[in-house]
Amino acid sequence: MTSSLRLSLLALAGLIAAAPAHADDLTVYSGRGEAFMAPILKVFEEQTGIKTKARYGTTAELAALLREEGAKSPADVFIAQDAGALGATADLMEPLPAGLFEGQMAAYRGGNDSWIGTSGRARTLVYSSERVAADKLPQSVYDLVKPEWKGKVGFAPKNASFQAFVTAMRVKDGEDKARAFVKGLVDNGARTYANNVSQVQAVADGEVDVALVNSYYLTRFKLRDAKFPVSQTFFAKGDIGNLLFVSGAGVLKASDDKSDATKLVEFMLSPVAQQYFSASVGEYPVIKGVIANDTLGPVAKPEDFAPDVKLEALNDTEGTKKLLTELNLL
Amino acid sequence: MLVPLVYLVVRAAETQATELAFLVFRPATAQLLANTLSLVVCVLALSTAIALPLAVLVTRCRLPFPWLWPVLFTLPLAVPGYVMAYALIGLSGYYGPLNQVFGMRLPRLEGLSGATLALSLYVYPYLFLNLRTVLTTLDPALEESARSLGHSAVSTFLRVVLPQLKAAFLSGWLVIALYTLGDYGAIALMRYDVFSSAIYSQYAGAFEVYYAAWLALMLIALAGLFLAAEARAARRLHLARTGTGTARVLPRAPLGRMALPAALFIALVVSASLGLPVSVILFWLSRAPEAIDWPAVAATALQTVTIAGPVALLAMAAALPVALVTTRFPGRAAFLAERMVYLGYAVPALPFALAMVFFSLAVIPFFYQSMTLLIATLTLHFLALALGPVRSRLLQLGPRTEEAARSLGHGAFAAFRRVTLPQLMRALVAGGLLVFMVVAKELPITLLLSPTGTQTLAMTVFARSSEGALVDAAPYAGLMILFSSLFVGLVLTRSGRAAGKTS
Amino acid sequence: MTLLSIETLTKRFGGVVALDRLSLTITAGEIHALIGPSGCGKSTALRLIAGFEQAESGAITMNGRRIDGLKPEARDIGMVFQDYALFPHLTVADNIAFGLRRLDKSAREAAVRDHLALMRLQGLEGRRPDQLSGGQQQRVALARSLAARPRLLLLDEPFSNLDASLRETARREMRDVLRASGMTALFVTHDREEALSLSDRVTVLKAGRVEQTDRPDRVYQRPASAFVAGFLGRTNLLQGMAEGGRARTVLGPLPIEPEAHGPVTLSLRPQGLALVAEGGAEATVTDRIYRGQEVTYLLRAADGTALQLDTTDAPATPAVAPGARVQLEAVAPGVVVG
Repeated sequence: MTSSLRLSLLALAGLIAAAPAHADDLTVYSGRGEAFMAPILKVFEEQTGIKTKARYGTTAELAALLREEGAKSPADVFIAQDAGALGATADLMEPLPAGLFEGQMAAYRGGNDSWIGTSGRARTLVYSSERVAADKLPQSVYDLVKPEWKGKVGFAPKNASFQAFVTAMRVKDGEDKARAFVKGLVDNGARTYANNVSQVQAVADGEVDVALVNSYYLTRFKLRDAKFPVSQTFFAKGDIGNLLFVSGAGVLKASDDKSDATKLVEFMLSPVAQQYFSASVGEYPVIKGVIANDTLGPVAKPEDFAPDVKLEALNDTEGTKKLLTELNLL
Repeated sequence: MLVPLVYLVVRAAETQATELAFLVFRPATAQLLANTLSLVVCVLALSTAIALPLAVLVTRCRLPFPWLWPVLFTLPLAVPGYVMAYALIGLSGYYGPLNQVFGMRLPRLEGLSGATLALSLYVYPYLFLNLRTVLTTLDPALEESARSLGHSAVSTFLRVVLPQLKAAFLSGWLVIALYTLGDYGAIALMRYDVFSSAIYSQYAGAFEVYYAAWLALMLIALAGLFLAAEARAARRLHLARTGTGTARVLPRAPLGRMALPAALFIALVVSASLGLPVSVILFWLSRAPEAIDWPAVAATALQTVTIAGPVALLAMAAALPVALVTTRFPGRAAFLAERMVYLGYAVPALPFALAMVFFSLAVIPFFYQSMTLLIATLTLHFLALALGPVRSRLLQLGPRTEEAARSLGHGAFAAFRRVTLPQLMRALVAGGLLVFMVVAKELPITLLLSPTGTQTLAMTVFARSSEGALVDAAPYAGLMILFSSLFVGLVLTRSGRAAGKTS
Repeated sequence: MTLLSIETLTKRFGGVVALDRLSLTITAGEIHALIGPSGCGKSTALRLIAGFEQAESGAITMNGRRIDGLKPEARDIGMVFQDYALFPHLTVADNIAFGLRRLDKSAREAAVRDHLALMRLQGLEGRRPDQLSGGQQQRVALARSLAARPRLLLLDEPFSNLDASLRETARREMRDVLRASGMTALFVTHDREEALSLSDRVTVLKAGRVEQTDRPDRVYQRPASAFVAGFLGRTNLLQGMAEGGRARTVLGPLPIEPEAHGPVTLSLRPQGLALVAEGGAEATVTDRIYRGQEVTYLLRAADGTALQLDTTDAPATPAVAPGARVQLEAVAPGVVVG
């Protein structure tokens, strides 16, 4: 008995000692889910021989963590869901080489060299193809606060993409109109969800008829089940509800291997990665020459519908948080 | 132990007065408090409604296969909370078995009712075990006296048995209340806003770290309040047995016309608490579109073991000296050490983890996000679970046999090692197994403190199911239940045999 | 008048017979002791009468009515438990009031008051059981059962948890209280002194069967079997050849009762033997046990039979050393026990 105890204590010591191994791996903080990122990181590892390990969390959580960690951060690369979080952490980022931005399409370019947009996404409306007729769809996101949509709308106030959309609304249409819209949603009995996936699922499950989500979530359901009873659409051309924005990446100043870190960011802009974002994830590629995803249908051409909002305008995340906090949504 | 909590206070104190009013003391916080309290009350009520009848049935009624029921009523402990929630959610909706098989699309369970149901279905065993212990050790003469004084079986139960169960209720309720305060996964999946889920979403969604710190402090205060209330209520009980009594077991009554309702009740509880999670997971497994990535599942399981294993061993190694000191050399310092251990357990996991994040970044950045810190934190949090069995076994053993060994010429250490330690081994291992099991299904601490790249079963199940990828989560959830029930079985047989040996 | 009668009661636990066709009657107003070695079934008999266990066969009737199908609470039979089974969550007064549900409040309070006084428990009514001494607990248990006014009171080893010093007083007190309240009581004990000093009648049980029921002096003086003789006190068992009122034994011819013929076993208490100067049967002293007031000599008779003899320790009686040869005489008749 006692000798087995001694043995296990020895094993324990060994385990603890072995724990901080692989310190030279490239550490990636990914605000994008494991389901999206793990495959692309695997390809990167195979192509370059650079080992990575990823910490997954929400974009905001990781941004907060990076801020908390400061110069002590073990992270090399930050991959974020939205431009707002990237803008907010710009001071922690190393400038990226200028050459990286050359192939990028204009619509996806931010105003800053501390991060780069790696894929595009748009805000869309998903709706139940069983319960909502195509001719009854709202023309503007502002229509959703009208009585005919009472109790039928889903939104995700804690989700960074929704917050980016509110930021855009505040910048473009003014603080008051944005506040009135969010308050209108609440007063109109709109249901809140934790994230995009649960909203798409909720539409299928019959909890709500429509929901405000990002363009690529439905793709995952459709790729798995073509009969999935949910569709998505843009609002009328130029409506703020069709916001076009990016997810992106940056290299941290705290990184101890900036050259490998930059290689990962470069890789994410390579045709291989871009094709993956398009075909498997359902996002919009940020470089030319990538085959479009055929499940997108009405939301395949975001440039035609997007409102005119500069990406750097999305940096004012604090104002949006304040607004949502005041409305008790955070 | 206390130092990380101090850091929580430091962070909270950084808040500016205006922000305090704007962010902390606002109606939403009151709503969180109200939600948290109503959840605790509802979970206590429902788990009592489940546990009390079951405990009476297994201790007072003649059932077929009497050895089976206590095991079945304890096994839900093995179901991680978020798996239970996930099973309840998975039952409804477009992809739920009811819709796929019968075309019935039920509204999903959520909010207070959903969270209450999910939590109660796997925490009720804590109360069941407590009540069962008291009901089996209760002096049968008490019930017989009441009967011979003219009280019916029902009146005897209400007026004599129930009052004797107060202590068991109190300690069971305390464990359940603390558990409910600390649970994050099940409640988050049920989309109910309570302190713990708000702390997490503040941490995950907004940058307001100090609000998270405030909420964490409030949650700890709430836990402290529960502890104090329980201690106060327990002090007022007069349940000491007066006679020496006999180890007689009350004869079990035949169920008679209660047989059908009892059978239905048992069937309902077992199918909801065990059948449901298992069958929903099997259903999802059968729907998996592509081949399951078994190497990945195995790697995740291995990772889980490499965390839970060291924690269990460390907890065992630490429980031994603490138990020894508190039982053999009771004094102020020993008392404090013991209180610390229980405090570590009572502080809900999420604030505890958050405190550790703040603390490690500010004071020991080298250990931040290291396996060492994760294991140390988990050990501090769960040490009480390993301490319990060792302590009560030590009290039971007493110093007599060791003194005999001393008088036979053994040194203090040799006497302990050769006489007491072997008798303690079972309790020690039982405690270790329990710690292993809860660490394996632990979520918040692992989520916040694990080294980058770590994937445990619990993290995977939670991540996949909150992304809606229920099919992908199924193999992990299945493995998790299998894993944990194996351990519940081990713990039950271990402690059962230990108890059998002493009586 | 018979209050309770038990007829051919049989009870098994697993394969073990606890009661073997036990029959017994309890007369109204009497204090009846049930005595036997542990495992003889005396507690089981009590539990069957109280209704906590069911017999396999046999009948229990009280006042001519079958009660063995009734629930415990419907039998009108009270029970005082070995460890008293006081309700730890209730005060002394509430414990005593527990069986008085059918009375209204003032009657209940009066009954509690009366029984507190009866059992000298005044001033303790607000205490909890764990704040009482053993003797006080025992009195509360008795008061609780008496207050419920059962027709029969069962007591299971009521004094076994008391200190030896308290026992004597407690016994007398209980007997007085039972007599004063006219209560019929059946109590179980393994202590022969308790059984003999307390009861009106004693029933000796062995292996689930009745060996003898009679007055205490009768069962002691005229045991019906060697077992009863030995169980109720030290005794000498002699083999002899009976010829009517006398028998030939190793001690010479001995008066016996009752009359018998042929080979018999006789019981002769140690006090029934005396040392004599001459003319007695010869024996050798093997040991001498000094007991204070009396001295017991262990002896071996001529044929090797071991005997014991009690004498009072008076200054006049000289001590006899082990090894000495002495002469004995029977000063009481031998009782035929087999």
